Amino acid sequence: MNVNPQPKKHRHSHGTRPGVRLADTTAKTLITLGGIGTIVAVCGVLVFLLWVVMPLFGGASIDSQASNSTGPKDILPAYLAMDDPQQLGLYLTSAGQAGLFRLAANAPALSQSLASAPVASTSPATAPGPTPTITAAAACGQNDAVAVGYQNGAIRLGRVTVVSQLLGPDAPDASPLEARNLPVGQSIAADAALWDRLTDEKWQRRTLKVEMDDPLETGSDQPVVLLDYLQQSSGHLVAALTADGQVVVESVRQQRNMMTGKTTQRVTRANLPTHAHVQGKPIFLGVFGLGDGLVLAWEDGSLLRYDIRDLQKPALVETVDLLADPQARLTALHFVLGRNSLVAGDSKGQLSVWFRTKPPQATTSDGATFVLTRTLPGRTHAVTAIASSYRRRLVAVGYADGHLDLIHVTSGKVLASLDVGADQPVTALAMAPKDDGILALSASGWRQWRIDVGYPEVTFNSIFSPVWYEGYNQPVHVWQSSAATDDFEPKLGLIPLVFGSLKATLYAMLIATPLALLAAIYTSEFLHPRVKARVKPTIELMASLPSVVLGFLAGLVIAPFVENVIPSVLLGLFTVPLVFLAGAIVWHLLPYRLTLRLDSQRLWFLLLLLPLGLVSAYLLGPWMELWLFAGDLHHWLDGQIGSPAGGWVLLLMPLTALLTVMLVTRWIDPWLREHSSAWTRARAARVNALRFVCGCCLTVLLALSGAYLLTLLGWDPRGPWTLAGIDLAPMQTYVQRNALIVGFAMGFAVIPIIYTIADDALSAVPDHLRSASLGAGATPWQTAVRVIIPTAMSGLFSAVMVGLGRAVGETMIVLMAAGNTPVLKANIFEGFRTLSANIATEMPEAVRNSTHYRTLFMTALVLFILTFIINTLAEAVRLRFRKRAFQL
Amino acid sequence: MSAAAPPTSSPSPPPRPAKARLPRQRRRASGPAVALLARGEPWVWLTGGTLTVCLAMIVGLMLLVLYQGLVTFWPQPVVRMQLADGRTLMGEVTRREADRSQAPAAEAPAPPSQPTAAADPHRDLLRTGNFELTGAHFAWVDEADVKQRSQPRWALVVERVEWGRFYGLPLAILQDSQPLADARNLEGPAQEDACRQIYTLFEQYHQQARAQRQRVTDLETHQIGQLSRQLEESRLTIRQAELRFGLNSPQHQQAAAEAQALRAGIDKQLADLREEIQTLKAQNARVQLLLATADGRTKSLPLADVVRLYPANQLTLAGKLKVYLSRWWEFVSAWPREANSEGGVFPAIYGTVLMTLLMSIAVVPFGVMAALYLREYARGGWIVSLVRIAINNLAGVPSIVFGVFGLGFFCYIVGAGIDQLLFAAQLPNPTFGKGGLLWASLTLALLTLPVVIVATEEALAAVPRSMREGSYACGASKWQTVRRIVLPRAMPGIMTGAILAMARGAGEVAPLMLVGAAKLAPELPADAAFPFLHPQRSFMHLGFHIYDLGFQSQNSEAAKPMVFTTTLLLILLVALLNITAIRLRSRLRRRFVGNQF
Repeated sequence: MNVNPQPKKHRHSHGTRPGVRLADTTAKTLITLGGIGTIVAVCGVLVFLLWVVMPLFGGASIDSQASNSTGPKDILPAYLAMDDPQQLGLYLTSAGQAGLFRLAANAPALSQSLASAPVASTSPATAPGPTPTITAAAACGQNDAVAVGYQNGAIRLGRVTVVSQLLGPDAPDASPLEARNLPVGQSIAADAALWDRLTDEKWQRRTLKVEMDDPLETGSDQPVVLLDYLQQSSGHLVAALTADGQVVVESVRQQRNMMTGKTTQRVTRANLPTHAHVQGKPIFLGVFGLGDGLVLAWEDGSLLRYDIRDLQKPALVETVDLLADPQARLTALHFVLGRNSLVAGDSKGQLSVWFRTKPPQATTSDGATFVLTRTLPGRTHAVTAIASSYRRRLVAVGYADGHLDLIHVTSGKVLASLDVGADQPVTALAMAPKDDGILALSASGWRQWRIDVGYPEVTFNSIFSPVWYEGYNQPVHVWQSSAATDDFEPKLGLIPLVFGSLKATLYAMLIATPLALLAAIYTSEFLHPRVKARVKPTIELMASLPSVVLGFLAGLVIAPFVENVIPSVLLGLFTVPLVFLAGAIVWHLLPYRLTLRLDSQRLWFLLLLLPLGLVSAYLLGPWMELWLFAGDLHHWLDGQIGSPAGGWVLLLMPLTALLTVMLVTRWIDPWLREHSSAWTRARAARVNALRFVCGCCLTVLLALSGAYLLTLLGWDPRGPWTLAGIDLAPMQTYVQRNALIVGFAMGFAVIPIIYTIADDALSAVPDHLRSASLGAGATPWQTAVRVIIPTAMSGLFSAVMVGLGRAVGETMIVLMAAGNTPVLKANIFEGFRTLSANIATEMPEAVRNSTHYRTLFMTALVLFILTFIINTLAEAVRLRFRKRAFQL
Repeated sequence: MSAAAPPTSSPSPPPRPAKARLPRQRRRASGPAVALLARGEPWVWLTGGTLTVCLAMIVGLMLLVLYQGLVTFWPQPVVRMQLADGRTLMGEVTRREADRSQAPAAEAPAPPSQPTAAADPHRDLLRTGNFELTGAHFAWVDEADVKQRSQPRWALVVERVEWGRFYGLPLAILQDSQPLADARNLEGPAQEDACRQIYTLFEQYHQQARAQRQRVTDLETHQIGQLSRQLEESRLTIRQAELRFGLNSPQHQQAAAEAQALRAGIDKQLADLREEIQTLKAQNARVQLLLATADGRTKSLPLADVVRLYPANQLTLAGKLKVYLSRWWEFVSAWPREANSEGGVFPAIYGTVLMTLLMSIAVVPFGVMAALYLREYARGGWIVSLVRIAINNLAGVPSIVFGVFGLGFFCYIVGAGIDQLLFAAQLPNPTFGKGGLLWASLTLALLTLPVVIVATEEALAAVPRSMREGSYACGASKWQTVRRIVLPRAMPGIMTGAILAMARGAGEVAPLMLVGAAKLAPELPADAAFPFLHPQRSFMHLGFHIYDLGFQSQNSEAAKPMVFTTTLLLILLVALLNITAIRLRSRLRRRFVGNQF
C-alpha cells in the first residue's frame, strides 16, 4: 500500500498549525487587552472625575519666593501695592514720597523715591508752602487712585501710576549710560526711572507718575489720623478722622445731564458727631462699598457705625464691641472685597468677621445690625497687618511673630501659612491684583511669594453645611454660581441641588412605584399569556421614548394643561382607583355564570372604567374646588383664601383610606365570615357592596374630621414649616412647572424599568409554588399576595431600586419641566433644580478648571456615586433573589 | 348556595389538637361571602386598573405626538375676523381654549349675570403673521369681540424665507414695477379672474425665481466658502511656518509671499462672484407680488423670497395634500430658517444619524471584545462577577455624568492635546479642544458600552456548551471555535445589542449638550470638502433641536408645531431601531430553539 502521503498528513494533524496557533494567541491577546482596556476605560470615568475634583479641597501652592533684607523704610502701611506681573512694589512714605522697588531677590536696594508727593498740582498757587508730613493715606481698590492726609489737616486726592515703556536698540539715546551697559536680566534705578534690560536689544523703562489734585478743605488744622477713600461710578467719597476726634466726610457726586451731556459736580460735606468717651488709639476708618455707611473703630474694640446715606443728616446707628476677650486690644481691621465685611484681628491673635445684616427684629435706625458672623482660625501672636484680595473674599493676615496666613473669609479655609522670617512683626501686606502673589514687609525687609491660591471658596463644610454669606441674616444653603456684579461671591452649596434631586425622585417614585408594581403583579398573575405578549412590549416601548421628548411634552403640553385643571387632576388621584374598586363590586353583583365567562375579558372592562374615572374627575373637579378650596385652588394655595381644612382633607384621604381598609379587614371581615355561611351568593355580593359604600363614607368622614381637628389645632398644610432651612409644607403657591408634573413625566421613564424587572422577578417564581398554592385551595389573589409576592420580594425591591437610580439621574425631563430654581421647598406645586439639570445648564458656561467647573464635576461625582450605590444594592439583592429562586 | 362556588377550603376539617381547635374552626367558616372576600376581586381590579393606566399613558402619549406631529403641516383655512374695536385680523386659527378669565365668574355661586356670554366662552389663537408690519406673529381673539368671521376666497398663505408667514389678498404681480396682472380697482368676477391670473403667473415665475435664489445661496455658501477656506489655509500656512521656523525666517517670508499671490487671485475671484450674485439678486428683485393685508396695507414681495404660496380657502383635498407633502419634504430635506422655527431639520437628521453611526462603530468592537473576554477568556471568580456587576451598574449611571466626563476628558484633555500637537497654528481657536462630532460619538459610545456588553454576554451565554465542546472535539483551537462557532451563533444577539445601543444613543440628549450638539451648525459634519468627514465640527441633533426649539426659542408659539414634528421624527427613528432589535431578538430565540443539541 502506498503509505507515502499518509504519514505526512498524519504528522501535520498531530500538532497545531503555526498559523492557527498564531491566530489563537493574537486573538487571545487582543481580546484580553481590548476587554480589560474597555473595563479599565469604564472605571477610568470614576477615576477621572475624582482627579478633577480633588484639587478643590487642596490649599494654595507656592510657586516661588523672593526676599530682600533692605526694604523701603518708614512707609504708610495703608498703602502698599504690587503691580500685575509682580515685578514692582509701590508704596508711600510719611515723608511725602511715593516709591517703587523692584521685586527681585538678586537686585539689591533698588528702591528709590522717584517723586515727592505734592508735584503736578493743577494750580501751584494753592499748594501749601513747605511740604507737611503725610499722616494718613488710603488707596481706592485696584485702580491707582490714592488719598493722602497731611499733618496740617489737608487732604489731597490723586493718582499714582507706573508708566512703562519698552525701548528698542535705537531708542535709548536719551537713556543713561548705566542702563545701556546693564547686563541682560538686570535692573537698575537711574535718572528717576527704573531700567530693566530684557534682551540684548530691549530695555524696559518704568517711571512713576504722580498727579495730585487741589487739597480738600476739612475745616480742621489738626493732623489727619485716619483716611478712607471710595470711588464710585457717580463720584467719590472721602472720610477722614482728625486728631481732635472730628470725622469729616466729603462726597463729590458727578451728575451728567442726559440732554446736554454736561457734567456737574455736587459736593456735600458733613462733620459726624464725635465721641469723647472712646479712649485710646483709633484703628480704622472705613466707608462701606455702597457709600451708605461708615465705621470707626478704636483700639479697645469699640466700633461706631454711622448712617451716611443722607450726608445732611448723618447719624450714629450703633456701637459694637468687636472683641470677645476684654484683655485683648484691637490691632487690625480691614475690609474684604466689596467693602461690606470687616475682618478684625486682635492682640491675642484672634480673627473675626463682621458685616451688616438686616434681621426683621432689628431696632436700629437703618434696620441693620452689625454682627459677628464667624471667627477665623487665628494664632497666638497679635495680628499686625491685614490685606485683602481684589478678586475674592480672601485676606492675608500678618502676625507679630512674622507669620502670615492666607484665609478665605467666607469658607474660613486657611490656604497657606507662610513665614516672613526673623520673628519680626509683619508691618504691611499687599496682594497681587490677580491673587497670584503676596508681598509682606517687616523690619527685616520684604518677602514676596508667587502663589496659586487654588480653590479658596470650597471646603467640605461650605458645600454641605449652611454658610453665612454676606448680606444674609443667617447661615443658609444656597446655590448661586454667577451674577452680574464684580464683587459677587459664588455660593456653591450643593444642598439645594441634592434636595432637588431627592424631591424629583420622591415624587416620581410616589407616582411610578405603585403603578408599575401593581401593573406587574396583574400582568404576571392575572393576565392571559397571549395578552401579556402584547401588553409587555407596549409598556417596554415607553422605556425607549427619549427623555427629551418626555421633557418637552411635560413642560410645554402637560404643564399648561394641568395648570388649568389642577383640581380635577388632584381629584383624579382618588376617583380613578375608586372607579376600579367600584367596578369590582359591581362585577360581584352580576350573575356568577356571566362573570365566570367574562373573566378573561376583564382587561377590556378595566379599559372602559379608566375613562369613566377620568371624566368623573374632570366633571367633579370644579365642585371639589368650590367645596374645599373656596372656589379657586390657585388662590387657596397662595394662602389668600379658604381654610386649611380643604388641603388637609386631600392629604389625609390616602391615610384614612388605608385606616379604613385596616379597620374593615380587622373587625368587619371576621364578623362577616362568621355570620355569612347561610347567605346566598347574591346576598353576599350585596352586603359586600354595602361594605364598600360604608368604607368609602368612613374614609371621607375620617378625613373630614381629621382635617377639622388639625385646623382647630391651627396647623396649615400651606406652611411655612421650616426645618433646617427647608420648607416642608406639602402644598403652597402653584408654579406651572412643578414637582407633580415632573413626577408624572418621570413616571414614563421609570415605570417601564420597574415594571419589566418586577414582572421578570414575579415570573421567575417557580410554577410549582403557584400550583401548590392553587391546589391547596387558595384563590389566585391569595396565591399572589401570600406566596408569589413574598417569594419575589427581593426582586421587586431591586426593581424599585433600579427605578430609583434612573430617577435620581434623569436630566432632560427635570431640565425642561421643573422650572430650575434651586429652592429648598417640599411643596409639590413648586419647581426645583436637580444636580443633573444644574450640570446641563451651567457646565457649558463654566470656565475650564475654575472653582465652578470643578464643583460641577463634584456634582457629577455625587450623582455617579449615588446611582452606583443604589444600583449595586439593587444588583446584590437581585442576585440573592435569583439564587433563592433557583433553590426553591 | 351556588354550586359553582370555587372550593375555598375542604368541607371536613381533620381532627386537630384541642388547643388550637376553636380559632381554627372559626377561620374555616365557609360560604359564598367568604369565597367572595377570598377572591380579593377589588384588589385584582385595582392592579388591573394600574395596568390600564400605564397602557393609557403610553398609548395616549404616542397618539398625542402622532396627532400633533401629523396635523401640523396640514393647511388650515385662513379666517378674516372683524373685531368690535374696528381692527381686522386675518390668519390661521392655531389653538382654541376656554377663556379662563370668564370661567371662574361663571362658576361662582352668584355670578353677575352675563346673558350675552356664550355657553362656551373661548378665545382663539390666531396666527396673523405679517411680522414686519404688526410686530407680532400671533394674536389672541376673544370670541365675544368678533363681529364678523369670513373666509376670503383668495386669501393667500405665503411662507417666506424671512419674517415668517404672510397672510394677504393678491393685488397685482409686477415686473419692473409694471403690472403683469392687476386686481386693483376691480370688483366681482373681474377681480376673481385677475386673482386667478396673478396666481397662475406666480406659479409660472416662481420656479425660476427660486432656482435663481438657490443659485445665489450656492454661490454664497459653496463658492465663497471655498475661497475663504483657501484664504484661511494660507493664513495657517504662514502661521505654521512662523511657529516652526520663527518670525521673518526665509520659510516664513516665502509662505507670506505665496499667500500674497494667492490672495490677489482669490480677491479677483471673489469680486467676480459678488458681481454675479448682485446680478442674480437684481434679476430676482424684478418680479414682485403685491399683496394687501387684512387691514388694507399693501406689501410687495419679491418672488424669490417666497418659499410656498397657496390660496388656503379654495384648496381641494388633493391641493391640501400637495401642500402637506411638500411641507414634509421641506421639513426632512431643507435647512432651518428663522432661528430654527421654520424650514427643515435636514442637518439635525444628518447629524443624528452620523453621530449614531460613528458611535456604533466605536462601541460595537469594544463591547464585543469586553464581552468575549468576560465570557470566553477570563477565568471565572469573584473579580469577573464584580466587574460584571460594575458594568451592569454603569448602565444606570446618569447620562449627564458621561457628558461631564466627555467634556472634561475628551474635549479639554485629549482634544486640547491634539490641538497642541497638530493644530498649533489655529490656536487659540480650538479645533478638537471643544465639543464636536467625534467627542460626542465617543462619549455616547462609553454610555452605551454596557448595553452592548450585556447583550453580547447574554448572546454568548446562550450558545450551548455542547457546540463549543463539539468544536473542540473536532480539534479546533479556541479562537477557531469562537470565530466559527460561537460568534456566528451569537451574531443576532450582538446585533440586537448594537441596535439597542444605537436607539439609546440616538435618543440621548443630556451629554450632547456638553460635548458638541449645536443650536445651528453652519456646516455639515461630513461633506464634499476634503477630508470629507470633519469629526471636530459641532453638529445638530434632533433631540437637542427639540430642547432648543421648545425652551430656548424666541418665538416658541411658532416653533411648537416644529417641535412636534421633530419629536415625531425622533420617536419614529428610535422606535424603528427598537422594533428592529425586538424582531431580531425573537428571531434569535426561535433559531436557538431549533438548534438545541
